Amino acid sequence: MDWKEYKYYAQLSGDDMVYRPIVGVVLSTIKDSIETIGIIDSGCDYTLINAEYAEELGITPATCETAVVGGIADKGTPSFIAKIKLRIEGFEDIFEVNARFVPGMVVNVLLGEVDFFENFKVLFEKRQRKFSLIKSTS
Amino acid sequence: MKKNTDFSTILNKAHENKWVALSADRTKLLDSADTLRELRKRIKDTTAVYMKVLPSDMSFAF
Repeated sequence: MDWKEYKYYAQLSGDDMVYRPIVGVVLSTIKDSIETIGIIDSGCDYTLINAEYAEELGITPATCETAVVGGIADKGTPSFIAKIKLRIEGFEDIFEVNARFVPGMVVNVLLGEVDFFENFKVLFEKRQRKFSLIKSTS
Repeated sequence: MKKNTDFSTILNKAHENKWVALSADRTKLLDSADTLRELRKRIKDTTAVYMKVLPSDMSFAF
């Protein structure tokens, strides 16, 4: 198994260009699938997803367990939890994750400690604007 | 497939806080809308990549 290399994504932040470790992800349920992007975020506990994706995936929030997600300054935002399948760009493996869907989330997907970091080793090489992933085997 | 990783080449201020659909290689903007549902109804390309565009006038701690 080889490391797979990715480029950091360039995005504007004020007058500056910032570079973020972003990778393509496919979210799916038995009802639908959708391709988007996710930020690799070791400061995030779980897989967090903008709640608008839930509707597209046929998930009904009212039937889901709920959990509060805390940010850097707020007291917490209610989210709902649903099991979905997640595939990372460049890999064939499909992971089942208990994703937290967060209404009003400004980003698309955050790939956090549980699920993502449990399954992948990550090598960040910021100065080279690249990072690499390999599946964790143990 | 080589993919574009510089969104500043295809997105601008007008797209901030909106949902956009990009071509599979992320080099072309296909369409944009206020909601993901509205956007997906309009896009026929099954390989499209969807995303919400961050505002550029603030920094983030994810």
